[in-house]
Amino acid sequence: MDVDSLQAGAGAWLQGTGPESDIVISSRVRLARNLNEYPFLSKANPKERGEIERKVREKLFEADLGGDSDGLSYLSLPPLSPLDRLFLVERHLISREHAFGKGPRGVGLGGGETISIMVNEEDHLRIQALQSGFQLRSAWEMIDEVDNRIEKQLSYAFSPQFGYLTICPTNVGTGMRVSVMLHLPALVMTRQIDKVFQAVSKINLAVRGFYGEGTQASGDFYQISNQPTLGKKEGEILANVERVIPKIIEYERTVRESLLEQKREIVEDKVWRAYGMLQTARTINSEEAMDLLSSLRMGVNLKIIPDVDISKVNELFIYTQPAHLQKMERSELNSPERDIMRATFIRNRLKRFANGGGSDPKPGKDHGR
Amino acid sequence: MKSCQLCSKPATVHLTDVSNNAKRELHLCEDCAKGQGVTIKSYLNKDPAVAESAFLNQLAQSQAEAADDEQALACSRCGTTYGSFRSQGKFGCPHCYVVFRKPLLNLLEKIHGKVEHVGKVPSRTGEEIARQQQLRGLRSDLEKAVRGEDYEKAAELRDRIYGLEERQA
Repeated sequence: MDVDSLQAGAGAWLQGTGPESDIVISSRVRLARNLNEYPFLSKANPKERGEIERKVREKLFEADLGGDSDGLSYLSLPPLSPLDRLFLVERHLISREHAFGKGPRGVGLGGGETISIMVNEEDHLRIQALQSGFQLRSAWEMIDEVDNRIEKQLSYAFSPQFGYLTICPTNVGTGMRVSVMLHLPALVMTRQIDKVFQAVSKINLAVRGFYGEGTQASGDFYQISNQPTLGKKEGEILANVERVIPKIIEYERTVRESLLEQKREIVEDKVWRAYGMLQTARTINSEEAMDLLSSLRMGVNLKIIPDVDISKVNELFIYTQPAHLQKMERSELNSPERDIMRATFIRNRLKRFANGGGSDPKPGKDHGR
Repeated sequence: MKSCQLCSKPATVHLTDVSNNAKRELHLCEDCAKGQGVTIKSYLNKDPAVAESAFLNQLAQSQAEAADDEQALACSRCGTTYGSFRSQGKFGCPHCYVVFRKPLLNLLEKIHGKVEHVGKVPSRTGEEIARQQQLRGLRSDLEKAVRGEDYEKAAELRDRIYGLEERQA
């Protein structure tokens, strides 16, 4: 399996199905694990790193993680081009650090991109389950099972006192990071997003941007995740995040409704302008695309824009990113070329909606084209 | 009731040092406190300002001595020193968690507010560890029951604890 075959489909989590998917894009649970018989990656020499990667890769296959889909695929990162690696980052399958790291490392993928296992990123293993919409519990059950199966094949570094041992004490214990990605355009528009930040950080949760740790919020996307990993059961950590999300969802929905009631023209204007630009612009940079697509997405959710499918909008967020564009074009492009390609791709994609591509014809509408 | 950080007896001396916007706490029993150079009774009759500065100096000194000891600590398996850990934020190998246990407890308290793992346990090493976890949970429930004067529940818990403990043999 190679990166090109990934390009053909979109991850299951992008489909825009799943509960509360108007606001919750995805739910993610990640576990950090290390092998007992090797040093952590901070001290492992190149030979050891190679051994760790080989051993983990072998055992991942033996662990029978495929589940009901096509089985586990493994990609070793060093042979891939920087573009292919960036592509994996854009799909949220590996972190930026992993893409541009050094030494033997790779990623195991399964379940239609819902499971991803980074090998030799910061810890020996970083196992991640990604689900569409608000499905934390289901993501946890998936990853719990994957963790159990891997653990039958490998010996994890673990101490009764400190739990699963990790290279950074910030991850020790459960090694668990739970995060939910939310789309909050109304809260951003009405400048209430800071209230969410403050409330959320008071209960030991962190807020991050589209690509996770250390990234900016763009496209009005925010990731809420837990911070402490030690001293609570996994179920408790999950519940702490689970409890907060519905409140934020409710807040965003309420603000959206009140915007429609009191400032309908302003909202419609923002949405239709964005849609108009996306349909007609000849060149768009990433930042602008995220911004416009965010307004479009809100417009679709609020039924201001008819006949556009939310999963197609979700895909646009992913496909208009730099590596995705270049892989589609099968060549490297510089920044201005990418901006043109991005605009072209979006125009074509949106045209298909207007022509009724994928949706049923409605009586009285113009389908001449 | 906190335990003495050096010997696990109940702690009766609680020291708080606030400097550079960081708060550090030490909890010691009287013997260890004396051993660390903190004298208590001598402050009772002195001018409060003098006593306070003498006290803080002693505290800072004993902390500095402890810090030097900590810096020198090194993991026998991977060579990581505590000093390098503090500057990089990363450990070198699983054994580091044993070697640096003491200063680690402080650090974990700051990061997570807790220092003990109560969650999932790997199935391989699992059974013994799960048993220990269960015992810890039962003991703390027993304490609560006794405090709440629910002696029937306490007796039941005590029996369960004996049962688990016996399984070790």
